[in-house]
Amino acid sequence: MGFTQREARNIIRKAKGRVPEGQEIRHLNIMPMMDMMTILIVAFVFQAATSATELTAGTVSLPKSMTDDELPENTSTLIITKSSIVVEGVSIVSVNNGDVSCDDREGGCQGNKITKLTQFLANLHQAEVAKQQSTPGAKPFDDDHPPELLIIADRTTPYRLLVGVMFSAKQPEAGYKRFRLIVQKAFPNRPKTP
Amino acid sequence: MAIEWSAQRVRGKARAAVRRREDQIEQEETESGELNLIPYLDMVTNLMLFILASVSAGIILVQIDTTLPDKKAPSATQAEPKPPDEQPLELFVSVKLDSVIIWSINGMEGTLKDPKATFTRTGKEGESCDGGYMCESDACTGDLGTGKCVPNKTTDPTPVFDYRAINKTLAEIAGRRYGGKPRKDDTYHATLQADPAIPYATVVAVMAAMRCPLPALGAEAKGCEMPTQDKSLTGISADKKFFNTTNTNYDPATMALFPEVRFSSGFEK
Repeated sequence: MGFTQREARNIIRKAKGRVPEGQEIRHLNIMPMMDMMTILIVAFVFQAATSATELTAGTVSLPKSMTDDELPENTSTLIITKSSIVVEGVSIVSVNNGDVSCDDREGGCQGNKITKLTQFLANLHQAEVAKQQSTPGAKPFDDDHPPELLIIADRTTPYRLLVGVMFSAKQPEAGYKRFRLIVQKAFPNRPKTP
Repeated sequence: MAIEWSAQRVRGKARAAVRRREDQIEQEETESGELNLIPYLDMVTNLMLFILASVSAGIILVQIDTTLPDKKAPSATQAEPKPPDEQPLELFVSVKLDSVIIWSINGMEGTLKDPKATFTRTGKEGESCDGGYMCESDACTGDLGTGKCVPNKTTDPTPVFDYRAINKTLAEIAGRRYGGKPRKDDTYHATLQADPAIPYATVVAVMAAMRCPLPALGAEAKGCEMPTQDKSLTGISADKKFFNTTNTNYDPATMALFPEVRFSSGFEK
């Protein structure tokens, strides 16, 4: 059986016409997913930027501990890194070889009080009191509910510096009487499963 | 003159034409100028996974309460003597560079010269461990029972002691002194004293051993029941976090040992 050229062209044109045109993807609406992803990314980037500000003086390697008390909220944070003491994101005193300079201690090298830290904490405490007074229903600071300071320290921070920081915060002008030491929860090695 | 095409030739031509048209449509779709979201989705998904992994990283933060005691002048008047089980022990845990000693300032549980117990340093390379906290290098490999301390170039070494033995000694003291009856509120404190060079990692590990009974080897820490004077509570709270000191018999196996850890910076002459 044969076809004339015109018949053959018609057949080919019809075959081409049966090829479905490209269609938009209508079955999958990915807009909500993109919205969610974008919002999450912005939130994560913002959070990362905020925590980066708090640790301007470097990173902290937390010690591990077999304790299980949960973290408090709305407490002032003091971070002792290998190079600085940072309170609420502001670097107060620099640290070299695990200690602050003798000039930063009241009474020189043998002193415990870190003057700049006490001054900064005194201002911070006053701001906290003012904020508390302006917040309706907030519990005022007293002996049963003293102001607290959350301490995050590098695992290598020497005991002398830790006590110096606590001593400075406990001065009457600063007024922090309770301290919460933040540590990383330690998990034991597990027995081998058969 | 009209040329006749065979059916086979027409079929081949038609197939080729259909294929060309399909390719053309695909090409048009690709170059049509519509936003191609696939690379964006790939990138966002990768970023999300990366950020989630870096944020969580399996780290759980917990906290330890502490205070720095006020400096007090010795009292001029002699206080009335209390029964032995009501007297505060004035217990000291002194962390030296080479050992930890447990003693009592009033001599009830040893003295500075003749301490109740002495613990030497452990956690050297090759010693048994069930977690990094038992090793100076903070690195323990192997499963429970076969774990060994190994070198760790990324972490500075810190002194390590036998924390379970320290914990056991303190539990024995608390149990012997206060077990089986209500324990007075002012007996829960102990003082931690350390060499100025002792690192924070060692300090918090000793504090954990002072505060609560440590879990068995290989078990996860679950905390312990803390003393409270909350009069509305009878016995132990439902969540096993607190117990009323006035109406609950003290049990060192589940209740806090010396949870009020005070830091000492030394003695003044």
